[in-house]
Amino acid sequence: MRRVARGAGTILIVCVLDSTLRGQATHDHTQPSSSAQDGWQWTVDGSVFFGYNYQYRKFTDFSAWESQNWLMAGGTRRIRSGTFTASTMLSLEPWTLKDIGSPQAFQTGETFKRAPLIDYQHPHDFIMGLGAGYRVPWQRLTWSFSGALVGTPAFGPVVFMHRPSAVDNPQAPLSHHHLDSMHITPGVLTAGATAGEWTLEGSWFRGREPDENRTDLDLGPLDSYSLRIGWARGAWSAQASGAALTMPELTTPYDAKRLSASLSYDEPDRRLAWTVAFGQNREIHGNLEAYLLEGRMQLRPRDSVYGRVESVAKDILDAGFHPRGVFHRHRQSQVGALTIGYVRDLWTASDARFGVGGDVTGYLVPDNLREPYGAPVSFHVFLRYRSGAGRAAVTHVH
Amino acid sequence: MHHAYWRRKILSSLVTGALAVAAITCGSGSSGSPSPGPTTGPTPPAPVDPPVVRISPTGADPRQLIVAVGERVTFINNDMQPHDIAGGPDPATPDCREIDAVGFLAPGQSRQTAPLPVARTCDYHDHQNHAPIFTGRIVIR
Repeated sequence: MRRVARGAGTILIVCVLDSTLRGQATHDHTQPSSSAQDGWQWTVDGSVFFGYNYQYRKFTDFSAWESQNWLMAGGTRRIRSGTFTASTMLSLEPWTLKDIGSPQAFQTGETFKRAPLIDYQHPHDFIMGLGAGYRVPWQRLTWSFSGALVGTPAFGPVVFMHRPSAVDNPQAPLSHHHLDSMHITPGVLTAGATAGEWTLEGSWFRGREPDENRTDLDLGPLDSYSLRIGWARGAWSAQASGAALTMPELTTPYDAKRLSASLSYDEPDRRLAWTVAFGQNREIHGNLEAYLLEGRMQLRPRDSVYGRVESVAKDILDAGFHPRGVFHRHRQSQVGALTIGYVRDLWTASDARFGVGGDVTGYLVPDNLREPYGAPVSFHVFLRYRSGAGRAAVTHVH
Repeated sequence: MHHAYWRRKILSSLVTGALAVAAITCGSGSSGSPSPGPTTGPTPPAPVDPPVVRISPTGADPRQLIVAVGERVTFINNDMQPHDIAGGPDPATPDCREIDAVGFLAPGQSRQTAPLPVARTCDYHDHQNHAPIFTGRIVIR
């Protein structure tokens, strides 16, 4: 059996759940699908975490019963010599997380009640993706064109929730807003060309981060740009990208630039996947850098471990609204985090698996945050449902 | 004999009356005490609660606080989010730098201002959250 899907707007996701490929599912951002048939072919993929999140903190502990989740559906069909895709991605997090988000020490990004979010991971929008694209070979190149009401511009590595090295981890990386936070961008146009192992893509999109209304479309003028060069060979893939963002943050009404580079390894039999990444936000208040190394290893058919190490510059002490004309160099806090987790699959089927897991995160706290934070520790225990599983894993290829 | 009796009687009455008047006059003075009990001194003033501003999701409470010159004000963050207390009505108008000593407060954390040295009115704001409910005023008298 072969199921093919492509889409997610500019993401141009190709899901191939192919038993002949040992169940490997591929989210391919660059390669045209040779398997698209003349008629429509559809696929559904999803992930649900439900569990208890406990954040041990110096003054006040935080905890929550919560669920991180997403569902992606797409269709693809061949049109002339190319392949047309349409897809959407939805999340119930506006209702399964608190309005303020998921407690996570040192996490930043987006706002709550018009104030910068600190120590919470924001809920994702209900509509995480909605778009279509067309890929066609021409003159020894494969050309791609896509547009999305909500999509991902050509920037950064695969977003954490789809990364093979992070699919078992319910928690967003602290480097999310350095590397892959633009995965819910309202309004994206992307064009690219692929030659062999190399892909060059450019995007024109709206640079503002999503607002606090998690159920609307935050449409507006396309005012930002990005460029990404990608390389993929077998289990290896890499990318380098840059973006010029027009006022991405509500609380800092200035433009910013963002750079990223990453290298990933995703073993075909899914036993090992890892990603190393660098991101830099160039803001008016200073440059903030992030370093990430994460991985997932399947010990036995039902047992997996995962881990993540990060060092991320955070603007925590001086976050907040800064009207134009108010400028002072912000105090940065280079936060370190180490997560170790384990997942045990209790039940598996041909295209789904259900398991239980947990993780613990310790932090390296910089001197300027030691007084308010002390030595926090985070814990998660969860149930996890993942489709496209059993023999199928999900692999993203840029 | 009869006259002598009345003379002693009148003289005794006069002496007794004079002593009584003297005793009453002395007893009404401010320098003495009619009772032999221990001296307690003036009653001390009732203790005043230290000035505190509590920050919750609904804002700063109280929004206006009156303190004496030289006092400190304690800010307590009872919110779920950090707050960053600074002097002045907004980020663009810094003032009353003694309030800046409060600074960044994690949830559950508290910290004092520096002593407020001059009789005046000081506004403060939250540098993390510019909502009006997180602004307030300290009147120093």
